[in-house]
Amino acid sequence: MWACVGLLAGCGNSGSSQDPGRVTLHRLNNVEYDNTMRDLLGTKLRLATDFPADDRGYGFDNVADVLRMSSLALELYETAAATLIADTLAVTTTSATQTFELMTSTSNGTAVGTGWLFFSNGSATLTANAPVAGTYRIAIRAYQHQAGTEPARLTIEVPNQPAVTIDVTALQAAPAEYETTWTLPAGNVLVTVSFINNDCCYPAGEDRNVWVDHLTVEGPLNGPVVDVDRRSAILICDQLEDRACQTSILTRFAARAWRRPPTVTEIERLLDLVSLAATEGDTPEGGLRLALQRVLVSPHFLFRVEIDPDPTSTTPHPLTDWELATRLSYFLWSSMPDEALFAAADAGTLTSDPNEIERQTRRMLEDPKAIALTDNFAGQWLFTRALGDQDPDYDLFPMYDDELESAMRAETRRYFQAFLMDDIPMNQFLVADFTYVNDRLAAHYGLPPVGSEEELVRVSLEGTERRGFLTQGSFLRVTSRPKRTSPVLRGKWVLDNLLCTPPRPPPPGVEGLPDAETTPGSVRDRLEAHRNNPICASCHRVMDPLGFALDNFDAIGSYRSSDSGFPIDASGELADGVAFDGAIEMTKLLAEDPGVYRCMVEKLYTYTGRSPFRIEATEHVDSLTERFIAGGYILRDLIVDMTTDPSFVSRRGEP
Amino acid sequence: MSWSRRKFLGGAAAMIGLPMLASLQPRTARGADPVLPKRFIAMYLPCGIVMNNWTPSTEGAGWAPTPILAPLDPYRSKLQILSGLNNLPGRSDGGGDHASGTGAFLTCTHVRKTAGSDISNDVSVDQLLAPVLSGGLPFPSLELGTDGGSSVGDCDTGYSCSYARSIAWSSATTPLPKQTNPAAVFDRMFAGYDPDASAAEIARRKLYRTSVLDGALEEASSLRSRLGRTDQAKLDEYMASVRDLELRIDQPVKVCRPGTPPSSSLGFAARSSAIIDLMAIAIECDLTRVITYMLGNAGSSNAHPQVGVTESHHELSHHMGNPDNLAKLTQINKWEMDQLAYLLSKLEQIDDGNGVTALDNSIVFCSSEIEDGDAHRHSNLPVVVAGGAGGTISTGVHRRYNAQPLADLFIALMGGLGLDVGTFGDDGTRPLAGIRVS
Repeated sequence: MWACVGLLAGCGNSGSSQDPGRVTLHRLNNVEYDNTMRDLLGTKLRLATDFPADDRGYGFDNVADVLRMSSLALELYETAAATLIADTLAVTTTSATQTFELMTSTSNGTAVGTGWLFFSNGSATLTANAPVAGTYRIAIRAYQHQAGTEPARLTIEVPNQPAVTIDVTALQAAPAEYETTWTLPAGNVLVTVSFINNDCCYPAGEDRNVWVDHLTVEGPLNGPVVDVDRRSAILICDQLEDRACQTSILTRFAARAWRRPPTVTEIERLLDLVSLAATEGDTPEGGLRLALQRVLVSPHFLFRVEIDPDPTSTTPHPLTDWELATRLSYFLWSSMPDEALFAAADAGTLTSDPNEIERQTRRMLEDPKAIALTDNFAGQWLFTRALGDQDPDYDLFPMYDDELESAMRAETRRYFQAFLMDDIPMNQFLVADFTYVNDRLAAHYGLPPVGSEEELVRVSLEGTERRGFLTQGSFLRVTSRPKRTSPVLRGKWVLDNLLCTPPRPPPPGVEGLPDAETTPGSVRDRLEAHRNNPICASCHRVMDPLGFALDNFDAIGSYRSSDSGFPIDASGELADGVAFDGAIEMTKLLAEDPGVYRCMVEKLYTYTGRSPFRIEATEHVDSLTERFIAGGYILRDLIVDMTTDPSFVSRRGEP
Repeated sequence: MSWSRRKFLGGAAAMIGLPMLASLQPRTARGADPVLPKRFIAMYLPCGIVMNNWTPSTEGAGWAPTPILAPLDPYRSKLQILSGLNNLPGRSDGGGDHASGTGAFLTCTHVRKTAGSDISNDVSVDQLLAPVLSGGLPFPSLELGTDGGSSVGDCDTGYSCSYARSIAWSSATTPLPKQTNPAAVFDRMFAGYDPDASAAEIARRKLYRTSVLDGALEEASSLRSRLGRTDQAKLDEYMASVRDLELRIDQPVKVCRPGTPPSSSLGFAARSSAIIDLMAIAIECDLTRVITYMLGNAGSSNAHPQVGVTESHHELSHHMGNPDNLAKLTQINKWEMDQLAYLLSKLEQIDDGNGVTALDNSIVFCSSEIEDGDAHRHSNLPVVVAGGAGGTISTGVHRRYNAQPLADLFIALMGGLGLDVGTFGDDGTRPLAGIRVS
């Protein structure tokens, strides 16, 4: 049995709680806002990127208690509503030219004249917007400083398309315009311009550089485009001046946006805006636009509203079908319900048919939108989202680049998905003898090529030093410093996220690690100082060995047997005195610890938007864990157990 | 007129002025205004300062430039360096000094340690000043920064992210989030700009926006009556936000011709310069007179490749006396002073009339949440106060204090800006001596 951590109450009393607790009025977080707009309007705009960063609590950005509303956010919601409705109802899109300036960091280039001079290889990125899918021209004005026989070479890239290479032959006296043609999807498009063949130091001192001026994105070139489908999905009838048509448009839109049928009075209030616009001499469509914007700034849209029949009664009551559908869809998709889930809610089967929630949960997990669970739950639990926040030191790790980083990110996503979708028991998560790599990652891991440059391929780790998640590049990188590994960070991550037993913070003035320059020795030798100080030792005795076990993997996850010339010692013992040597032995011991599985359940429970520190939460998590272990550690079954649990399908008021 | 934003952002060119600004002046109203346009700007620096390379060795007017303060030298007559001030309410309860110190940065209040929803701080200096200085302007205040928030984990050792990310607080429980993308800041600043709109059209837009928000507010109050008290508190945040926006919509539209919007994909250093450009434009166009700017969040892990430092700022700040670490931190700190100097240069170029610049009429307060990054001390804070608040605040000297509360400095500064308060924060009881021009 797992350790009874007894955060507040309930130890030894698992499964007995009749208290479902309550979820605080939940503001859509930024990811949920963008996903919801995607599903509601068919838009590719992701405007929440510029909303204030979401508050985080208990390791996740979707905990209702701590998600706040602010004047700034409300103002941006209002602006976004107008932008999104205009974008959705736009009748035609004519060609337009967007102009961008290019810049890199000043270590790659510098401003020269009206342009930017790349003096070493580097990339500039910019975000263009394609109002509709179509053909676009991307042009760039450039000249080169010639060196050698090869002209300076630029590449232009957009996501998911092969890069186009441009040979810049024009010289400074007469910069030339280089044009490329692209087929772009609607929405924001990340354009990357790279200088790829820097070279210098020819006998006469020539240095190959390239100068670029403004980049323009022009289009769509295939004429005015009517995105009929998106418009008619909202304006579901043609007689816009007709009150009946207006009513049906607003009723359908509000039902989807508010995730429940609107009342007659609510629709009347929306229609008032259509009348107001008419009084002002505006068209019926103008009035409808106003009413649609109004739906999107409503508290019923911006918050996930759940109503207690008696807000002061602590007697549990079932959620309504629509409230339940909403809890399900934001848990599994980070978005609104789809038509099928709405249909189930309308039919009342979520609350009346005991098997319907399970059917819906399993159906929804098969939907591509369930990738949200990997990106948002696993991305935060496993820290994969932090990949790219901080670059490793270039001089020490010149081989680390975007391609490798993307492969690492993809590996962990794919790996988590395998456990989720192929029902691989989660007690293999830390010890599995397989992973997913492409050629680049295979080479990084010292594995033979897999014959795939992009797509990941499942490979066996038999005969290597790697096993399970803790030996994956993404984890090893995000728990390292730019120049070195950090056994402390790695150990702390295990305590925080695999055992849910976070260490106490260090006392002031003792953080940090003596540098190699002043204190020779391996990282491990330098960390031994922790043991000599009793204040430090109490936590580091538990934390550091977990990290030492992984020290055969450097700051970018490459295998090594020595550190700065000192041999790696990856042996140690766990808090309970059991000895291990190396990652494979340590992760095996961890995988045998039931506390790890309680912690997984606690993390997933928290991700449903609830604080793990509520009194009733301990009991919910305990009983879910019991069944998770008894059922063979199947993640998908745990999710079903969670969505059908009384704590998920009901709530109560507060005194 | 065409001008290149890149000129202002790229490398050494960052110090060049904004020639186009003179043509932007919407100054008729201001010229007729007998009251001086005073402003308050606070600039926050994360992770402390290398004090040995910061503190001038002598007091008074002739203080010798130090490695970190060197960039401020051109403005020495218009600023003062203050040593020996403490912000002890910023001390943490058992770890988390970056968050607790940042929470207290402009409030001098001991914040409640919580990672949950029950945050507690107090109203910050800038928010006390906003209604006094920015009344009738499009924005009571602007909250700006370079970083939104971390992508994983918790913010700082059991402290809410609100403390780590916000220095502006409009109430004990209301942190004001900031904008961090210069392009989005620009869009917000000039959202209402439409020189072709007729008065009728402007009135109609205002009517529409207000009607939409009135309806949402009505809906919220009917929803509120059906909720429990925790949910009501969340909805109250919403309703207060709607009312704030309605007040803003009610302000007259400011006609100030925007320049070219900045790019939305800038690196850290370029982002900072672009935001400072926008701060200057906001002052120039008189969109607001109160701005806070965070050059990183509490305990920032930003790398500073623009000065060749690839390590995390926070990691380096635990320097343990290592000379290499201290040298790198000094580079970062000096760059931070470059940013402050850039802001001061911008304010110096804004003509408030009668030979007085915007800097002369402003207070720019710049400091960090702690003193030395390794020790996490909240005493002897590094403090620069630039500008004279219309001749009410003395300038030109380095002053050494003996553990007086930072809160007392704020009382003095607020007095100079026209707001007299008897006490401030947890430990402010009197105006700090020597600050006001008597």
